[in-house]
Amino acid sequence: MKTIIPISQVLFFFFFLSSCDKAPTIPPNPNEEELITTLQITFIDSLGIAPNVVAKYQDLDGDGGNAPLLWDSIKLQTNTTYLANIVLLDETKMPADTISNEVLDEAVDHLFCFEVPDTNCVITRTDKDLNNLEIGLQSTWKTKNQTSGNVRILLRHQPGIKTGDCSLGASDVDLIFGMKIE
Amino acid sequence: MLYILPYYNFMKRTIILLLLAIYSISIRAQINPCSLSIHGKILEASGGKPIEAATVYIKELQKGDHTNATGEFFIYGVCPGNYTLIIQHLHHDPQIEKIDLQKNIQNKIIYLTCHTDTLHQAIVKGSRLHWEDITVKNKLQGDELFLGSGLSLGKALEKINGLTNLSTGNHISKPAIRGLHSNRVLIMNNELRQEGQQWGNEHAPEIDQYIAKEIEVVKGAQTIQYGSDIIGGLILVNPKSMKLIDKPLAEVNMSAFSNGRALAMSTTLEANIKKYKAISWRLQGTYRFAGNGKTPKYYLKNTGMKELNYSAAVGYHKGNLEAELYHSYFTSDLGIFTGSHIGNLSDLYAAFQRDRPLDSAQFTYAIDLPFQQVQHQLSKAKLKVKIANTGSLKVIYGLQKNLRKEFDNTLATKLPDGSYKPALNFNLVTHNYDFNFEHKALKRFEGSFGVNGFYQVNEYYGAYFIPNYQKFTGGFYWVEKWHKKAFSIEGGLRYDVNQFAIQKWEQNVLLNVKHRYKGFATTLAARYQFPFVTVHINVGSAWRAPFVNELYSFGVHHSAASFEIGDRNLVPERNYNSSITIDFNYQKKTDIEFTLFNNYIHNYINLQPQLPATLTIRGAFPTFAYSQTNANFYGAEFSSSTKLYREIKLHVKTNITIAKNISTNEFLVGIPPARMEGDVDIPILKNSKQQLVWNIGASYIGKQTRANPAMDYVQPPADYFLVHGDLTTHFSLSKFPAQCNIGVNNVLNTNYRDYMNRNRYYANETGRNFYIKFRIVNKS
Repeated sequence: MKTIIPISQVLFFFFFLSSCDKAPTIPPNPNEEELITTLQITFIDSLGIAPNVVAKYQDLDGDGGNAPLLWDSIKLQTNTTYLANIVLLDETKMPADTISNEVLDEAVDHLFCFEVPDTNCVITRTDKDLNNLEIGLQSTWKTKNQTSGNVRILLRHQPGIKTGDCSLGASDVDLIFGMKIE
Repeated sequence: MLYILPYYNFMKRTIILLLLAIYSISIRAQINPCSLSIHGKILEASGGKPIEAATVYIKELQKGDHTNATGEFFIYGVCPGNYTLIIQHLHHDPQIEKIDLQKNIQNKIIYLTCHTDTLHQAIVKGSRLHWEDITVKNKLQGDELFLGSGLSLGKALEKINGLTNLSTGNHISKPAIRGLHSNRVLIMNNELRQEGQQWGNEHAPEIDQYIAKEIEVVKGAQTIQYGSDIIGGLILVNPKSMKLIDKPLAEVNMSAFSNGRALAMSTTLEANIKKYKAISWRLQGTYRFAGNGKTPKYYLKNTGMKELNYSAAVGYHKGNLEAELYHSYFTSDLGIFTGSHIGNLSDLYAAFQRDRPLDSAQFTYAIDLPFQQVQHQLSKAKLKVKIANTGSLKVIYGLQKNLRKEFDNTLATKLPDGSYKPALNFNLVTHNYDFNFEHKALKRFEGSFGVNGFYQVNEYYGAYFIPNYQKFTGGFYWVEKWHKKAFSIEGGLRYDVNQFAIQKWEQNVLLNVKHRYKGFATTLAARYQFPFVTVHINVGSAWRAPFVNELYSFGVHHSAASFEIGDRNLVPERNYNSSITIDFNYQKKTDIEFTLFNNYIHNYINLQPQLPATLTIRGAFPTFAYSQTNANFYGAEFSSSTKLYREIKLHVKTNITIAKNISTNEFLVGIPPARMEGDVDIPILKNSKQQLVWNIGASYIGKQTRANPAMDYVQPPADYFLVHGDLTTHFSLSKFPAQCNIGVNNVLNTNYRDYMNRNRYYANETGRNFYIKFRIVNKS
């Protein structure tokens, strides 16, 4: 038995050594991670007649938790051609981080897709990436008659597989806005 | 025999009828006067444990047999008369029995006594941790391990009835015992609790399969020496014991597979030091890699992997002292099938609607984003001292370091220089302390008691998935066994305390919460050996504290397209497990094992769907919250091995597990469907130098009809039928024993999806796969 006592003492020593209270490491604050909190789409009449329209989705606490603060409907006028511009922001940062700039930097891997309620609104992407494929941060929205319904805006992340096909990749943004043309 | 029709009930009946027919033929009495036989069992006098590899021979005829793993021998073709039976075994005193043979002798039981000085040596076979199998253990060793090698550890375990794999693609597979997995299954890696991030469904155990000399599986709550939390079962991965190394030995293992063009190589070197025979060492290394897998119609993009492992061990063994130092290093890179990486629920439905993934792929070994990078280090120091007339004391200290990084192709993880930082990054450090004292046999009692201590620290970098935590568990246990001839009983009790503190951010506030749980676990097992039949009965109760992911997860689980919410008020779950196993063994010709089990889990922690779906800027995610209910898992297992004609053997196994949520009377999801497998061993050539065996088999996996549809996005896939065949040969290469196995899996190149593979939402399983495995041992 004599040999055993020091062995167990040594082991207990190891035990306390490893478990002694050194302050736990502070985990990284998830708010320091990059987050898309806001999508803002601005419409400008190409002829400068109709007033500008701004629609915004804003969820400052990210996924889950509180409901979005803002989720506007898009209200456009009939028979007008709008130039639309999408901005993505991370508003948990001070100042807000413009994520859409990063999308533009990586335009070859990203594609905006739009699903419209009917033929009374026709959307055409107007910007192009280095491979001459469309991006969709900028687009024209051509309206005709009165209608209402939903428009779905998707940002597809298509690393290395972008062909212009919306079904490829995964969604970085997938939002449905109420829409009214009047 | 193998035209198993894909109708489960019909097939079950057919098989039962066929088996009955086979038995009635083989049991038929024999009439030739010189065709008498002697069948019996050699058991240990002190414990009733079967003795393997004992020689039993008739002195007058110089004719005999060796006992098998269940201690049985069978001598046939003997004329009536008086004979002397001599029984010998390395660690036991020889025994002489006079017999008067007039008719067939069946199930003669002969007890051998241990040499007095090697009481425990005889009992410790290989690196087995226990003396005796009162509980039912399923083992993989020798040829079975070789035949299952080359793929993951989980795949090798599928040879055991009742074991399936929860897999993610073709390389990430984690063992599920009777439908339970992850934190409910304990894996002991060389006597230490394997501590990785096992809470994750797509986190495979970080163990080199080639390290195992023997793998044992104990299903249900039957063991308490290793922990209180064995709700589903226990897997013991045992390397060869250091004290069994007595001469230089080199072993080389190689496997190559056509699908994924995979290759695995493993080498082991071991020896004693020449001048100090008491010191032995072993070095072992494995390298394994695979490229994109291929279904019958297309390649699976980014499904390659590579794995590099090594281990080193030094042992000292002299007199009453045994010491061991061990270190192992495991590292793997695993590609995640790009087709499975989807954004939200609409993406998932779109992926499921397609009959093949959109991403077209070619063959490549390159691993691209997304991928997992895992590293696991395990160190062990062990000391065992035998104390004369008292027992033996074992002390183990273990240190494990687990690093897991998951890389993802997202804007948030891309660094300015174009490289990526890990999206998830965990660092888990675990210290284990085990003390065990095995007292010497006192009359009919044998037993041991011990203390386990455990301290673990988890830290994460990058995105939040589970919080940082510091966990301490401590427990003590006592197990006793009692024997009288054919009857053995074992009972055990343990008490544990489990406490941890977590740190996580919530709305820019750092939370620090402490949790503490405690409780008893207990087991009781009995075994009775009738002639030809052994009955095992087991009851047990274990408990498991909720894990941090169940308490605190909050966020999108991308590979599952779900939003998961933990509940910090969960209480421990407790199970009540019972099982009965009937083992029928007839003259080495027929071996049948039949088990019925019931595992009731009180406060079963389960992910439940929650309405409404969580809306995020990336779309809608179905929401699941951890909650508690009462669940019952029950089912049956059947396996048999029968000599059809001479050495032609038929193996059949089938099992079913049914799992119900008792509170809602609904079936649980993710439970393996009923399955049935059969194969035939046909010896083609057998002489003293060579042996060639042809094996052909098939498996039928049913459709899981018992699953609550509200808990899953898509319905379980259809049933499927697979055929495999191989040739195994034992031969000598420059006097060294060698073994070669050539075969093909999924012979018919069947298109199918497996319910237990998470990639079933997106793609088919891999198709036909040719393989060759080779092993050579240099025994000098």
